[in-house]
Amino acid sequence: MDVANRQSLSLSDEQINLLKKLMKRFISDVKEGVTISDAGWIVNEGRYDRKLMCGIIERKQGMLRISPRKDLLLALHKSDKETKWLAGLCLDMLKVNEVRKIIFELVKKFEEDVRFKWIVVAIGLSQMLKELSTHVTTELVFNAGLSAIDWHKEISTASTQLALQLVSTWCDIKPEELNKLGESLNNNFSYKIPYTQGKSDNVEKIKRALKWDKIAQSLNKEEEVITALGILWFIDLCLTSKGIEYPESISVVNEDTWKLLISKTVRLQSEREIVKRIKEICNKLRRIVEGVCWEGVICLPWG
Amino acid sequence: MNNSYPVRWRRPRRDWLRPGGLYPFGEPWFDPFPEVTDIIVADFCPYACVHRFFHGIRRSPTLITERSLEGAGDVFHQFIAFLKSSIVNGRLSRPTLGVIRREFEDFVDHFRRRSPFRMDSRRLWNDIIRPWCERKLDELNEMQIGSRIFFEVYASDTHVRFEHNGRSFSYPLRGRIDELNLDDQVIIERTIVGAPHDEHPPDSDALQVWLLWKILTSISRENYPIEMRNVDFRSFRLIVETPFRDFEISRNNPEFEERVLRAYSWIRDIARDPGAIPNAFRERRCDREPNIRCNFMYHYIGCRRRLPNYPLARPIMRQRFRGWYRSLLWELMWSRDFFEYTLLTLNIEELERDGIIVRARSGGNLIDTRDGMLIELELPDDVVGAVIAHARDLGRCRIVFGTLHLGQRLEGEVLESSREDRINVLIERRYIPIMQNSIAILSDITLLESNPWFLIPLLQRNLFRYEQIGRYREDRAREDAFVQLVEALFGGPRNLVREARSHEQHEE
Repeated sequence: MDVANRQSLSLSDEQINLLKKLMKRFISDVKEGVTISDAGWIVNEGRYDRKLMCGIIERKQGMLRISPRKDLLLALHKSDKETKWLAGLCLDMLKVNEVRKIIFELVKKFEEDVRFKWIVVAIGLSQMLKELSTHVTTELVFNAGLSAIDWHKEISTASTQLALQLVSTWCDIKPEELNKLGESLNNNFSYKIPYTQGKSDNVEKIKRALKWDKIAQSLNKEEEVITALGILWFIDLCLTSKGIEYPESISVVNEDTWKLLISKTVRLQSEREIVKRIKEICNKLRRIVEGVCWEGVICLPWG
Repeated sequence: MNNSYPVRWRRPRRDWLRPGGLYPFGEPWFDPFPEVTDIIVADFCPYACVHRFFHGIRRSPTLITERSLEGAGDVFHQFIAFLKSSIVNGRLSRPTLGVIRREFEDFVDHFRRRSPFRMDSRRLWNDIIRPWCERKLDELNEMQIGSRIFFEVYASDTHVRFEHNGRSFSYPLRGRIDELNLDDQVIIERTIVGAPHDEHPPDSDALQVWLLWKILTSISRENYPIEMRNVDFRSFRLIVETPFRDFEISRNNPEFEERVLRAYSWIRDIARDPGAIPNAFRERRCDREPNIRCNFMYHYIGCRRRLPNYPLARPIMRQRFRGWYRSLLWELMWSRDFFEYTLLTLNIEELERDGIIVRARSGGNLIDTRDGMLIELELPDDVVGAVIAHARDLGRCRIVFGTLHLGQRLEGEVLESSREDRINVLIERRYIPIMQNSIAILSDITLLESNPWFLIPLLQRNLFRYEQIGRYREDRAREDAFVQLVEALFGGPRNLVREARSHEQHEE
């Protein structure tokens, strides 16, 4: 008998319905912002048997809830599609909680230290600018004196340098500061944020090809949009690195980001407003350098 | 609801459509040219619309069939087209149920020879075709040779008009009419969805036939095929035909007008603005109506599907793919939609001068061969060489019977002819009667270059499928080549090692 069959449970329809109810409650509580330890509890009506006690359900003072443990999916291996989907979502909600902690931490730190905000924005922007790896014409790449492979390879280093230059108007950030924040986050992540490397000749070639000095000059007039984009992309990096998978969970994080971070940091009130401003920015940038699909680079992280 | 409607639609400027007018790069400066199905899907659920535009999912979320009857709707419609045209062209007269059954068996045999056919043909006959035939036997017997009935008619216009609060709005729209009967003045949308005692037609089919009628009534008369110039489609009856019942749909339908305008608004937002995707997710139909029957929830693509635990790098992979989905959508808009705008905006002489179409004349009758319907076409002298070169190169083209606004667009294989000024085109789908026959000849024939646009949604679909592949258990994941490759490529715990390189290092 394999591991899954040994650990999975055969449950009656009534038991499955109870589990679904508990999982839905847990998910909706986490969505509402309830902490993991307080989420998902309902009054124990006593309609479950011992079998369900095998770690799937937790009890506390006449209350019960689903136990959001890592092998929940394995235990419900034989159940229907909806149950398995809900189980997957429950586990994703644990990760949502972790990212939410990061958001709370950022809110606090942004108030204490403006420099910290710009470090976050720089990391986010460097993530966004990685899209330059594909959204340029081959003509621009060759004119830069690079092969397509070199361009693709160098863009992750270059994107950090481009982002640092962009935020330098507001705050002079050193690459080591990005690495320090990345390192502290990495302890928590399943996917690690790569270290920022130093400048190279190829990075300079990329900057020249993109006329980055002029581009940065133009973008520096758009502090609000750039800040919002940097924060949104930073949170996107966190939720990706944390391994959040389900659109339901991503949507919760996005809402928190808008509510807790963006609305307190910039005056732009809606995604629609940012999108409108981005369109205007892209039109301006197109006049500075051709051969870059700016709509594919300067954009919101989802979609 | 976050999206506001009605919205303004951006169409390409006329000068962009001429050669050298606009270099296709980046985000298109116009909005998509939707199909009727796009509207149906966006109306059903905005998130299903995201799947359609970004993930290349062409199937309808409303169609839920058993595995043994998947694709049955298409066979049902094609068989009826085949049966009716056999009566109209005189091959069959006053068929009985037994004769129709034999025709069906032959038809299915033919179908089997062309493509893998896994359907249960006995169930198809008993559950779908037979109830329809029993109901329609008198009608079939009353059909006259030479009736003007057309099947799979393609209708398209850049300015289809809709009303909202006393104001008129126009949008591009294209679609395919299952059956257009000019003698009985009726447009039929055929579906296998439905049960014997249904009181109402399937909602999506009712909307579909109404939209198709809207296109027909929006096309200006000079864009009809010559043979249809005197037809007034405004008075046509709209019928949804299930195996068990016919339902007449009201032409005056303010509810449909409103729903369609909202659907256009979603389509525009989703294609133009990444922020619309989370909005569409928040407006998911299954969250608003938990008991809704949707093909996407658990079955087909799994909107609510449990994702495998491995590869761990899947979120990173998805992040990389996100930009690609959008780029692929833009590519589709630049090629397919831009082309459709071009065909319908420029006049026929401009299209011919720009080398977008070639006009031809039929060089004789249609010949029914083992491989399909063969048609000989006479071409203008100055294009024969180019068309033959194209035939040698790609070997395929689209042949338009009727006009670009209203007619049949069929895929054909270009073959050389024994005469210098002619080519042969082999149309494989012989079971769909084409407009040109001894009864109703639509004299305009147009050749278009065949572009494999279906490859772009296929690419989107494959990317989306990669997002969903994986293993639930770690021990299995460790042995799974795909999982390990994704981990290595997208920065998961495993590194990609090139075997040859490590060999060389050993030797050094």
